[in-house]
Amino acid sequence: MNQLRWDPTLREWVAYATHRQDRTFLPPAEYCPLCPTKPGGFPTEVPREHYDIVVFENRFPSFAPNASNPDGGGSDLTPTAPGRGICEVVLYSDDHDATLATMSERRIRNLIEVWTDRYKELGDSDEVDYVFIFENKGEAIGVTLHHPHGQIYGYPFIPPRPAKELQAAREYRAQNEGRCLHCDLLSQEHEDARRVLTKGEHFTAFIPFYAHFPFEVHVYSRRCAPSIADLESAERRDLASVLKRLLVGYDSLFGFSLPYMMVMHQAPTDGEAYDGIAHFHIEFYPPNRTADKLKYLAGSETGAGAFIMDVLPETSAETLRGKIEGS
Amino acid sequence: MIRLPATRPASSTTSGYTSLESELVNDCREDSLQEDPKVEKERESKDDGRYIIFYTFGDEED
Repeated sequence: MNQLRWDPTLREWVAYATHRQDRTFLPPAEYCPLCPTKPGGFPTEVPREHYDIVVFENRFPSFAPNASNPDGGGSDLTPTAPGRGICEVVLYSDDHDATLATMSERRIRNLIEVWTDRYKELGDSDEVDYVFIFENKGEAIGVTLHHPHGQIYGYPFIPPRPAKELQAAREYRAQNEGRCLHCDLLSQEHEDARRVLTKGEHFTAFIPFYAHFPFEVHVYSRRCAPSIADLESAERRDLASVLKRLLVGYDSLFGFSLPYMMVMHQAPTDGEAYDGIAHFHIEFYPPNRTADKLKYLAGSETGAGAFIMDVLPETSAETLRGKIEGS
Repeated sequence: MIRLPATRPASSTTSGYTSLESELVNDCREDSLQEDPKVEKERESKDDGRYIIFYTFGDEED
C-alpha cells in the first residue's frame, strides 16, 4: 500500500508504505541481496556474477508507479492521494565492502553518469515532479543493507525542503535583479574562505555559514547549472574529483568510515523553468559531532524546527580541511 | 523579536578568491579521466516485473 496523506498544519504530504516494515534488515554479508548472484548461491537482486553499476526498482518502494487510489479515510481537510512515483536502488559496485570513499575517482565519475541518466529518465515521467538522488550510509543513519548503494526517489510532488529552498531562491532573484541566491552564497564563501574545504575547477566543497550539523558539507557547482543533467563533461569529472577528496577526508576525520546522509538538490521535473533559481548542489549531513557522540534531532530540532549547534562551522571546517589536505 | 535582514544586495562577484584558493585547488585527476566514459546500458525485467538496468563502462576496473 502506497498512500499519501495531507498534513494541513504543515502543508505537506506524508507517504505511507506499510509493506516496508518487512524489508530486509542487516543480513549477514553472505546473504547480502545486493551482491552478485554466485553460481550455486542464493539468488540476489542481481542475476549476474559481476557488475559495474546497477539500478533496479526498489522491492519495498515508498512510492510505486501503480499505486491505487486510497480507499476512504480522507476528507476535504485531510485529503489522500495515491503514492505514485518511482523508487530505485543504485548499486555503486559489486564489491560488498567498498564505500564511495574507497572507490576510484573513475568509478565515482561513472556513477555520476548513471545519476545523470536516471535524472533524465525519471524526470521525463509525467508522474515525477522531483528526482531526489540520495545515499544513507552507516547504521547510525538507519541503513538496513551495508552493500554500497544509494537510492533515487521520483516524487509525485516537490518535497518540502527543496520547495522551501526554491522559494527562497525565487524571492531572492526577484528582489536582487535576477541574481542567483546560491551563486551569491558561493561567492560569499569564496571571499571568506574559512569554511571552504576543497576546490576543483568547477566545484567547491564547503561547510555553510549556517550549517545544521557539525560536519555538514555542501558541494556547489560554480556555474549556475540547474541540474546534474546540465553539467558538462569537464564539470562531471571535476565533481568526481572533489567528491573523492571530501569523502577520503570524511573517513580520516575520526578514523572510521563516516556515516552520512548525502542528498542532491536540483531543478524539479514538473515542466516549469528553474534557470537562475535551482542551482545543482550536493549536501552531506554526517550525524557525528565527535567520534563517539551523535547530533540528534531532538526536541528543538524535530518539534520546533530550530537547530541548535554547539560548534561553529569555521571550527569544524578547519578540522575537516586539515584531514582533506593530509589525506 | 529578531528581524530578518533586509534583502541582501548582491555584493559579490565570483572573482573574489583569496590566497587560500590556490592552496585548496588540488587537481589530482587521473589522466584517463579526461576522456568521457563509454557506457553500455542494458535493461531487463526481473521475475516479479520490476526492471533492472546494468550500466557497464568500458574502462578499467578499480
